[in-house]
Amino acid sequence: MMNENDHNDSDPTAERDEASTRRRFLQASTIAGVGALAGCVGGGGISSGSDSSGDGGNGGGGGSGGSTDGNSSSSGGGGYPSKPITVVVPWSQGGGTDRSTRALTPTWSNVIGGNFAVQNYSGGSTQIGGEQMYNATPNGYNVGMWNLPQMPATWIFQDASYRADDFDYIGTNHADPTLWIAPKGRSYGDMNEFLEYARKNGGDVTVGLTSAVGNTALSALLVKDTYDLEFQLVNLEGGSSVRKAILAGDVDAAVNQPWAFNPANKGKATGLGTHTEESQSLWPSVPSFDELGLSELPYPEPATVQWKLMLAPSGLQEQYPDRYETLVATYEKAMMADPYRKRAEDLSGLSEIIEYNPPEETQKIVEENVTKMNEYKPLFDQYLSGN
Amino acid sequence: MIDASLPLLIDLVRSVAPDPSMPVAFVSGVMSEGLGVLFQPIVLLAVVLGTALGIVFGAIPGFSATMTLILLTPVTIPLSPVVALILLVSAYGGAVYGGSIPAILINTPGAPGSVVTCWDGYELTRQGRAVYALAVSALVSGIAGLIAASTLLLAAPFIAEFALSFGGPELFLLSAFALTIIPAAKDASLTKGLLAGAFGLLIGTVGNDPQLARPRATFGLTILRDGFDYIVVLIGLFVFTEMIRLAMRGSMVNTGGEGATGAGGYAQTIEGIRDVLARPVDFLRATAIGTLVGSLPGAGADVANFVSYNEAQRWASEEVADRYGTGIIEGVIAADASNNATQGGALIPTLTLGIPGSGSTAALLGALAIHGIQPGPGIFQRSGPLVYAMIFSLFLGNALILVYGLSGSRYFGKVAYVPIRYIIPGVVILAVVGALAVRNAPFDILVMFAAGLLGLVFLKYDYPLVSPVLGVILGSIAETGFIQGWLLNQQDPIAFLTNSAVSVGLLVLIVLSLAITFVKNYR
Repeated sequence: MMNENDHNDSDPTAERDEASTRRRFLQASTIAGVGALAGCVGGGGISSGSDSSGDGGNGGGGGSGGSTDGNSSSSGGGGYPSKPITVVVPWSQGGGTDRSTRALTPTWSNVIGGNFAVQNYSGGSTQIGGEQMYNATPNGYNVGMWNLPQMPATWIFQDASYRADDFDYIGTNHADPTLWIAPKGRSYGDMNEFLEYARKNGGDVTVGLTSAVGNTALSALLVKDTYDLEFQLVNLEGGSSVRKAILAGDVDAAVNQPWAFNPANKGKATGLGTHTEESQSLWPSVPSFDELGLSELPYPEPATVQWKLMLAPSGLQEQYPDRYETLVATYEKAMMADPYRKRAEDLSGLSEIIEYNPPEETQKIVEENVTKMNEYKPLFDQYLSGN
Repeated sequence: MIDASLPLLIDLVRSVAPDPSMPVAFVSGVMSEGLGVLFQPIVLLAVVLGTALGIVFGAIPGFSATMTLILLTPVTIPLSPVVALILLVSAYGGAVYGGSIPAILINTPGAPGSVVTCWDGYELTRQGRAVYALAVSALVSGIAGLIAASTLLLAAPFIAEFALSFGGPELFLLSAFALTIIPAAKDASLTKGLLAGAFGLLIGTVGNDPQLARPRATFGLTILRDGFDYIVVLIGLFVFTEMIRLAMRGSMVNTGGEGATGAGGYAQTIEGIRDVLARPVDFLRATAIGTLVGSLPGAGADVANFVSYNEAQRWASEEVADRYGTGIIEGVIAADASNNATQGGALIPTLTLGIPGSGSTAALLGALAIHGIQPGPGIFQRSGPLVYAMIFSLFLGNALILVYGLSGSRYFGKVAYVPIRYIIPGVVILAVVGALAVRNAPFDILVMFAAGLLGLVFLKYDYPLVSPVLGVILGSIAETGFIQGWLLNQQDPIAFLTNSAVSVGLLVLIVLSLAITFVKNYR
């Protein structure tokens, strides 16, 4: 059904417009009332002391805040943005992608002089949110934060109707490398020792993943294939379940990323290594696989690093070049701004892995991910067919 | 794990050295700083406003506590972190309570956590005792919330440990245990209850499978990769169906009701308070179940109210057990003490481990990120005053639920006498908005109407409406728990079922529950 939607058709279809109008109406009607009520708290709240997070970024937002949709005429005339910009997050509220998006938007809001409304469309391994971004009108009021390699996985392993060139890229946000972790107190302290353990214990060994397709599954499949191991892969669906399984000792090892796992948990788990050539800075005591001498293993970077990136539906650059340029320039500025860096630092050291790349580089990283995921498609197909 | 919230205990120990002349000195260091934060006028206003907003939102069909938090989060961006987070936490508690008001008054639960509130609460309304039911609901909600908040303050490390002990097999067994309520559903034959439950479980399998993300019964629709949302199904089956049934019946209150309303006013409120005080065991059992179930990742008020009602009925003497569902106070206590206690419980793993204990606390994590607060180990060192202020605000918020609920019950109760020509269109509009708001998918409006029509068929042929909803809510928790536990236990059934003491305990409860049901049915 969704394949009927041909994105090369340059006319934004009436259906799309209707859908987004409906959505905005709903948003307006549900939030407007609350905004009005909360507005009175906002007036005094901004200046209230005892701000334990030391967040300077929010204060400046006071003028534009209060309601996310009430100030459509604030910039007047043809000024962009004249209404809130929707940021689609293809994960639910509270996940890593959502949190890193929400950490950025208050600062981006100040830089661009308008508001952002984060909307979560979770499910379908990011395909539901992906379709939402793809079908949005490319008028500068729709952007999205996605992650790699989940994005290409939705069309390589699922039936998503869009491709990499169906989007205009704004920039990358951060890069979180693939990390293997074990519960505290196990007999193995690094990846070499774990491989030895896995060899001895065969199919009794369990390895937790964050999703069926993605960087964690790719890393686990490569390790399993390269060293001809028997361990059982268990998809735990999401970072917080992995965290729980490690803290409770439900799995023998799990694959995640250091920031997603939250460095505050460092003392409660053993980092076995990262599936990268270079070591990372968030959990400095954990070596990279290359440093551990795992030279037989392929290192298909960037697919073994979870990148997050900001993008827009394609057609924006062509139809509204000025708006696209504004988005790109203000995104970069917000990424570099101190209030954002400070907030990111408070978010368990997100600032350590922030990595901005301009649009062309961002697109290149996406395309490299597509190539790598296609290259290892047979490995995934075998896993997904249940063998 | 224990040191996750050690500061709580350290502060508690320190506070044992009191200075009687200054009450504030009972609490020391970070805790008193937290109290200081809470007692700023603007923060107090956030509690008052947040709780009220939560109650109003929670009362709207489909606007669960989770939805309320998601809708309010963007509004709090310009506020300072303290004001914003306390507003949200207060709204969360208010919303859980608010869901019970329409359940009692018009038999439409405002959220999944209030489904079983309908069973006895609405029966009381039909008997002209709405004010009484509302007073009981407010009282047990508020006090259960206070007890759960105390648990969060005093026993967080232990509860967090308990939550961690719940892995895949335990969650599967808990869901199976909750499903044993099906035969207990009021006015239902066992066969029809089980058939309808199986139908719900089947509906719950639509969407990507939880292990390899392969689509099942999605018919090429991307939205169905995420399955049917249980809140949308709930709105259709309970709210839309009930409005049609109401239209056919013509009025809400059974008897002319004048005599009954005459006895209203505060007399019913006071009677409600007295009757709750006379049943401390029922109340405490429901509160404990709510706190513990709330702390489990993946299970919140939606699961707690079923488990609690089921247990209440099981523990009751035979003649009382038979009267569940006919409008008895024990039913309302079981439902409403448990659902409000989940908040304090759910915040425990969320704050100390960074693992959300429910959908609502997962939404809260997003709001915490905006305000630069990172939950998990060390949160009391990083953001101690704010977190303590948040915990203390729960006490205030739940006290406010008592105040709003008890003083408002006689006014809310009048809703039962509003002409249905206003009630029905109003509620149907809210149901449509609620269904659309859950995930911004117009498709869900169709699902809501389809579920509503299906509900009419169910009613016509005497199938219990709650069974399919239970199936949809518990199905995905059970399936995910099963497949993960199965793989983690080498695909061995014995290892799966006996992997922990908790599993064995749940297994015993399930067997007992089924045995009792069969004995009762064959006598």
